[in-house]
Amino acid sequence: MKKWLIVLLLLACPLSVSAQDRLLEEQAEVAGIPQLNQQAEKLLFPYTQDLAPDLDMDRLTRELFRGQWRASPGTILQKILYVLLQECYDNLAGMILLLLLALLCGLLTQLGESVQHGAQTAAFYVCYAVICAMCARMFQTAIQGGTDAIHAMSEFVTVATPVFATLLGAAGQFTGAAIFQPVLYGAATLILSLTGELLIPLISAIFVLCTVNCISTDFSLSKLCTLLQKAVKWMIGMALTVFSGISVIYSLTSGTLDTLGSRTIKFAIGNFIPLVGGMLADSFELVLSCSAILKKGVGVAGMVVILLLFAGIAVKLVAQLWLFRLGAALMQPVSDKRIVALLDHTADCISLLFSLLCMCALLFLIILVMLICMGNVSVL
Amino acid sequence: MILPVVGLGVLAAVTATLLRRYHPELSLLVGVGASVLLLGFVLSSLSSLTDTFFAIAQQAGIESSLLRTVGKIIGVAYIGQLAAALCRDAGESAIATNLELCTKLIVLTMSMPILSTLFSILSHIVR
Repeated sequence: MKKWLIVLLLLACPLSVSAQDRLLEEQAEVAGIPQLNQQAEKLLFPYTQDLAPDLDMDRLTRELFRGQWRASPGTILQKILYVLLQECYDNLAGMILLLLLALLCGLLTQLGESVQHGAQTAAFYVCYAVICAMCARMFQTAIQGGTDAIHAMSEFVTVATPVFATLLGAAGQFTGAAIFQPVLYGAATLILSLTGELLIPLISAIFVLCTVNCISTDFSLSKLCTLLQKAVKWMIGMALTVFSGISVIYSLTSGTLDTLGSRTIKFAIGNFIPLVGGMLADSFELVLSCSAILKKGVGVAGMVVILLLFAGIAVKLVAQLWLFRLGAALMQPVSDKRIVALLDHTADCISLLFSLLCMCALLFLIILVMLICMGNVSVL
Repeated sequence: MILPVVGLGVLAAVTATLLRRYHPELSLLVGVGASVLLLGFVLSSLSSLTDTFFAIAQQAGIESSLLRTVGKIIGVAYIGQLAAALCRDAGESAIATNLELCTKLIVLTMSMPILSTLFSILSHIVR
């Protein structure tokens, strides 16, 4: 008899696990996670084809639900390094040409020094214009990539918002769902309009001003450039502080309210429904925790998506940034100082763009972390 | 490579100095001839350099017309400068100044496509 009982128990264990799995799958289906995954894959494709070519969001979320996902830091670092080197190599030819032209400019100014305002000066300006055009083209691709990545991130968060709201509601966080949907949505649109309408045009304007500033040694706009750069840095810092502060406050207050709410519901089910009330209250708790697991899985998957979007373009920006810095360092002894200043300013503008991208990624990550943490507070 | 160039230059300078005492007009001609010879000498070996330049440009995805214009402009500037210096040597500084101005104007006209490219890129960035 005892033996049979043990066998039955052993049989029941996997059964309960599979029941939990089924519940997870059903909830995932209802919340629209497969559609979200498809959307994420579509958004990610242009950014991650070299970083993570075999990305499968469905598998990723499933592994995250069950806690089986293992990422090895070594492989990730290796891949990032590979993409970095690839990007450096892609930009190398352009950079070498730029440096050769800068060298030519240096020679022209050296030769032209004996004759003030000779024809060499005119030739120097032409060379300078070509270098400017090349820098501008590189900068343009950088800014295009950055804008696209920010758009993709905010689009992902906008698509993910209803799914999160459903899961939050299913996990018993009604206040959280009610508050977070507008907060998430508002944050996504606000960040997008702030970057698209204000910061990206400002960074472009800074680049153009720097280019104009470097043309002549007599005519200087350097203070205006510094002012605008500082303004952009301040705005990035302010946006980060304000948004993270608001989302922390919202998540704290709504988390406490929801704990109260789900406790009340459980108490009500347990006490006011006759006979099966206690059992129902327990299954209510199971549903709640399943939703919480799903929410965490989706939240972490969302973080992975945002990080991948960020890393795909950030690596490229870093490669360009350091190529420009390297070029400026190499050219300083041999070339004209205006050209060195131009290369340096281009690197500065790219680094501004990089910090803007960091800000956007960080804000979206903070929002997702808040969502994940809310589950910890309110599930009983 | 460098020895013939240096030899030719020094020889021309010595000849011009010797000639200047008796036939100043001939010494000027020696200067012109030596300059043309020197330029031709260096230009013939310059093709490998420009080939490398164009190869790199092609790899970087930059139109070779842009670089061709740059090369032409630098050449024009040098020739104009050289001619102005020769005129100055001959004592005609008014012609030399005028020649420099003309060279600058020609350079400006030739650089218009480059400048318009630059402006279109910059205005596209600012939009």
